[in-house]
Amino acid sequence: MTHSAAAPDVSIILDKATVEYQLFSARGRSLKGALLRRTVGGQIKAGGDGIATSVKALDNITLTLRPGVKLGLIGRNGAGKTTLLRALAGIYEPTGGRIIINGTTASMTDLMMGMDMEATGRENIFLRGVFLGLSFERARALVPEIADFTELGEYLDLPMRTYSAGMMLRLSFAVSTSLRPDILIMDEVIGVGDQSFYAKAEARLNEMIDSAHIFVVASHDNDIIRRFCNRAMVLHQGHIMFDGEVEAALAYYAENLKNA
Amino acid sequence: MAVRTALKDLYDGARAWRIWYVLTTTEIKSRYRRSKLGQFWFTLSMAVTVCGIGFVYGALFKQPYVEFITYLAVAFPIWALISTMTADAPSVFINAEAQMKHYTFPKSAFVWQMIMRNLFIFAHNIVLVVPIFLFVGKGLGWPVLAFLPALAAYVLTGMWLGLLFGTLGTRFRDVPQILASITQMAFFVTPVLFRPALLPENLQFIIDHNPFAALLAIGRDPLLGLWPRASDWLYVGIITLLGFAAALPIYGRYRRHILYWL
Repeated sequence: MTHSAAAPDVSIILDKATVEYQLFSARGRSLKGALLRRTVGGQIKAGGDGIATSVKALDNITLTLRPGVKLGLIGRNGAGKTTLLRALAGIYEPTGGRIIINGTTASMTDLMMGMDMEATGRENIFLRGVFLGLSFERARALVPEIADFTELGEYLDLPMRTYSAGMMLRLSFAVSTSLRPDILIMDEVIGVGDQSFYAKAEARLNEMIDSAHIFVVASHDNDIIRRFCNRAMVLHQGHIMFDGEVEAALAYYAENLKNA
Repeated sequence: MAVRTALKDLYDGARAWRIWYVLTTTEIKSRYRRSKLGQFWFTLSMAVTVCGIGFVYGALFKQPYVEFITYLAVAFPIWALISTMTADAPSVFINAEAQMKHYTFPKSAFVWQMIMRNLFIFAHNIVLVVPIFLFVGKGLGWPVLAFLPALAAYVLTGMWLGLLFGTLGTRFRDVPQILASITQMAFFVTPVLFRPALLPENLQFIIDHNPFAALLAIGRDPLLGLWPRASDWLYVGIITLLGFAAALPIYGRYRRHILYWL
């Protein structure tokens, strides 16, 4: 997939975006229970019954990302990194405020997503292409290049369940990195274990990141953030605590949150 | 506003037909990939069901076998279509959790997928009428044309069921069980295993006030060579309108919450 050389209108705008949802207990999950609660009214104390807990995963976030930004997200587990990534990718819709996304988006959070173990390698390449919104012809056109890159040879005509873990990783990596989206979202930078394949894979990944107009990655690895990003953001409990220079953000995080 | 959101999502879902087309075909293919008969297992198991029930219940109800098996070969696949769509509806989004957390498909694509899967299975089941009708020497006649609008009504039924119960089923995890029980009970009071005429006058009300019976009748009668009754179509029309009247606002209002409920 190609993109236009200049894409000045690629952008992501968050306007007071909030993601607040409820985690229900087993009791809160029951329609029968909900109807009974309604009919018996005030007999059960509201709030204290453990039916639902409200979680504010993103709290009133205002943010604009424009072409050229390579943003790293830093924060502890549960800080809202994954939620923000999903919101930036257009997967989560905010429950308050607005998110406007201009441009084609690819989110690489789970490489194996959408792989059918019973289908052959070739069929899986085609499937992924269709899931990413390509026409049948264009999805079919993806196959030769990806097949070639994986060096899997005749295995590509066998069901994926016969593959070794390394082979599966090669295929899913090659498929995931075959497109050139305007906006690229990653949850940790993917690594491909296999030594011989490594150099080739890294070159391909770098090319993909370079060609994206907007790149956002969440990582616990400072080196990754340093290597790929030109801006970093510290998240804590759904709030942006810091947004700016990579080194400054890492320092802020180390000082205020890492061991807190 | 909520209704507009829901309609837009349905429209976007329809435009993403390639996605639910490949989702359905891979789902069915992987189920039968390792068997020689492939998807015609659907046909075979329906044939066994129809013949088995035909002989046993035909004897129990003292029905002429030929007519009874003809009736079953038409009524059973239609019943399977309606009841499976009802039973599948609450899980449409639950089963699509992985895809929904990864791609930005319009969520209604998974409702379309559920409808297409069931229509595909229905197509494999209903072909049974061909050998059976040939064997018993029964023709189809003009009323068969009235089957096409019935098919459209089934698609619409699957759509509001999927939108409404898919949303409710994601929030309330006992909805699938509740609907499964309802469908199970409906089976006994819907003329699938017996012809409506067999029911005594004082029990006719279980057909006249049964939405499943009306849905079944509009598709069954045309295939049996009869024009469908206006009263059945009126009933189906009302249920469909009420269904959408409930489904569109609820889906439109809660669509964005579905992912957070998973």
